[in-house]
Amino acid sequence: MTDARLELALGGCAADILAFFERRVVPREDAADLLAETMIVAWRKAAELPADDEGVRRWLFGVARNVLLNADRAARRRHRLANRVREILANVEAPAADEGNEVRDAIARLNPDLAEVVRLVHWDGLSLVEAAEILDIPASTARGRYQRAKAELREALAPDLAR
Amino acid sequence: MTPLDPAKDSFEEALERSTPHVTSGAEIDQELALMVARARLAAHRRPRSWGHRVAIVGAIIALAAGGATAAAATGVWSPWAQNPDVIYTYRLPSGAWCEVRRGNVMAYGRPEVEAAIEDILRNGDIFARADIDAAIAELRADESWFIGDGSNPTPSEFGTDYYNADDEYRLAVDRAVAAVLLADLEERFPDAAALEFSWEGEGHCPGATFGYDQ
Repeated sequence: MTDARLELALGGCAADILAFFERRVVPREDAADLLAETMIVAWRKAAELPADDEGVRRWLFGVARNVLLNADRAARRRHRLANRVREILANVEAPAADEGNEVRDAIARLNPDLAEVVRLVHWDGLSLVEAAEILDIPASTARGRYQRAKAELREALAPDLAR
Repeated sequence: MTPLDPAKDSFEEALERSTPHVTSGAEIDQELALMVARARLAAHRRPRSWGHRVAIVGAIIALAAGGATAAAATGVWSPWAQNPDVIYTYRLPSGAWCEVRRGNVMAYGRPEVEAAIEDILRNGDIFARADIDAAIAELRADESWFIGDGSNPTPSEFGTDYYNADDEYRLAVDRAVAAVLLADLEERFPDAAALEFSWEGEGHCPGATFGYDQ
């Protein structure tokens, strides 16, 4: 039963988790291997699967985040099972520079802990409570980081927003 | 440019518009579905039994068969299936004929295993040696099948109203062929039980009506 639930959840979340990685790694195609690693880790930890479906989704994002953190500290593994997805991502045309570049740069200049809350909420579409669970911090801490991040971003982007 | 949402200020809008572009579409969705099944295989380094291994490979085959629906609809095989390692045909209980192609073998870090599997598929007369009756008996004895969503599943196994004989036969053929492959690998490799590999299968069965089409 656990295997069936995990298979269903991975099938439902795979695209979102791939997008999570695509938004954070360079080159883009590394997202394929990080997704593969996330899936393999999830299967190996299937016994830890939460009982509720929404909890499973948050759990998978938590696994993804840990995979990303560990990958930054070492050379990224290549998984053969990611070959096809990596190929597809490598052939995606880079989008033209847009006004979002300045905001993305400003987010990147934030303290990493603040930046990640902003990305989880505004890029990945998660609530603050969900972001807190994925980051493994209290909800109040997530709210505090989010407020600080927005204040710093408003100040940094004020001249641009006034245009 | 998308008009500003009056319910949000320009700052909130700017944050959301900064979302980086991501890849989407039918091609990547299909590859992601295959990756889910292959990751399960990659994660289970030491299967408990051959039966377990066959079940995992069966999952890969079943997901790959999702691609067969597209192939059947358009009459076009996936790129790898245009040069498969083996092709075999069989008749379903409904009378429809299936052509199945197998290939795109990957054995993680073991090129000699990959070569062996390709040899077995190309030269091993794998379909002729498949014990389909035994696979059907195993399915009926060991498995419970359901259709519908996870919150409200409906039994569809042998003996129920939603039983589909073509589905059962197709799955039994896949499992029986996989069992032949695994038995041959056991003869060639002392560590066969720990091997990690994946292979793809695609079927084209014009006129068949499978349960998952309902």
